[in-house]
Amino acid sequence: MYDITYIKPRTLQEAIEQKAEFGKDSLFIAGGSNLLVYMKDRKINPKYFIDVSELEELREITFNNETISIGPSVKIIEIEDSNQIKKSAYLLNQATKEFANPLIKNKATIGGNIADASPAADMVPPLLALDAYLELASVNEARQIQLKDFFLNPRKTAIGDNEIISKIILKKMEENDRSSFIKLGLRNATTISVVSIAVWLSLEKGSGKINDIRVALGSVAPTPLRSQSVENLLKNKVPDENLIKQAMKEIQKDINPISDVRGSSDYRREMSATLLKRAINQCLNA
Amino acid sequence: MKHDIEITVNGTKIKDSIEASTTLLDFLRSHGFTEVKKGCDKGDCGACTVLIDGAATTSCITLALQANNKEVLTVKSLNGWRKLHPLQQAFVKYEAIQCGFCTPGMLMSAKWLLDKNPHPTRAEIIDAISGNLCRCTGYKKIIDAIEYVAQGGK
Repeated sequence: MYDITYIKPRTLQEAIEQKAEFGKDSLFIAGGSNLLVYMKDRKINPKYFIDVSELEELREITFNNETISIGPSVKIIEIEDSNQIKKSAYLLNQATKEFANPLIKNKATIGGNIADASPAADMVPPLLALDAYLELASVNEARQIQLKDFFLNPRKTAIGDNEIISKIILKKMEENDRSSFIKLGLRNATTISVVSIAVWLSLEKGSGKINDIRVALGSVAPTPLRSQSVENLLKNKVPDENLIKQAMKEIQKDINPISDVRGSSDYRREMSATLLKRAINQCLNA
Repeated sequence: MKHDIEITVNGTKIKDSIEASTTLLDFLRSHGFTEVKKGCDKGDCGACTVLIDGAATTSCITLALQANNKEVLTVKSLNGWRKLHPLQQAFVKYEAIQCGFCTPGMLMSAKWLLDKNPHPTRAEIIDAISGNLCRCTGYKKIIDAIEYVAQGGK
């Protein structure tokens, strides 16, 4: 079919040196659940697959005081099964429940979901809501970039030609924090989202005031994004029905959905508002 | 470019030299493991489900080389000579098989589930097979069969 060479580096350093050597003719592969589909559709034709799925340096999960660092080659199923992540970044666990199906989760990786950069990528809104940033490594340097600055267009990111995502760092959830992830699809499983929303909020004990809130959506713009308008409206307020209704209007300022096979832009606008209401209520009633 | 490969399939070491673009599904079928079915060949239907080092996944979107030096189990690993696995027996008992095409994949997903969680809830069973499509049965009898085994039925 294709003249591809498969390489399996033994270390991260080897992997990025190989990437530097083979350049645009090479692609990193981890789970391969997207790449193999593209390959079969003849959308990609790399000369080299560099397999990074088993590099230990890319598979660490580290819990720090205020952050969690997840390696890009950690599989979605491993995130789902991690009790520690369930306890300290529950929003990620919530997202894994809506992600594809177990057969895909058994090989798909969080790094691959980010690098593929679909506007509908399911792990991204939760990571945005947890204020994530990435570490990108190349032969001579490592740099950091906020996840919200990483996506430029559908399937286009700010990654350099010879860079690899080496770490995903996100903020831990505290005890009074609440989260919700809702994915609307045309079916219950293995579906590309029509609209998805991730909400993280920090509640003040007793008063019910939202100390801080982050709202992120997928499939309503060329890239997953945060809704600053909703966040600004709700921050430092005690939410009531009227405020939520206002938020449902505010969200329209930040999204720019298209009409496609899965739904019209009008429908996506309406559903963004509906999912926002549901997600906030789920958080408040938790 | 040809790459040497060695995969242990149902306990037997298979060695070959293959193109890197060869999928695990094509590798298995070309070596006679035709019990692994090719449905959509793009990761959507689950007919090609096998276990790789214990993890159930779609072999059609797995490079064969990514299973190099690993253990692959197909549906034929379930039964012994003239002896069906409890899951296979339950599928027969509950009439969970019509055309049979989804069945190998369904059984491997069920095996993955029960290996991980021997007593799943019905909801967990439904989630475990959510990557396996069936056009015949409407799923209920498949779920009943797996639930029977999950509740200790043999």
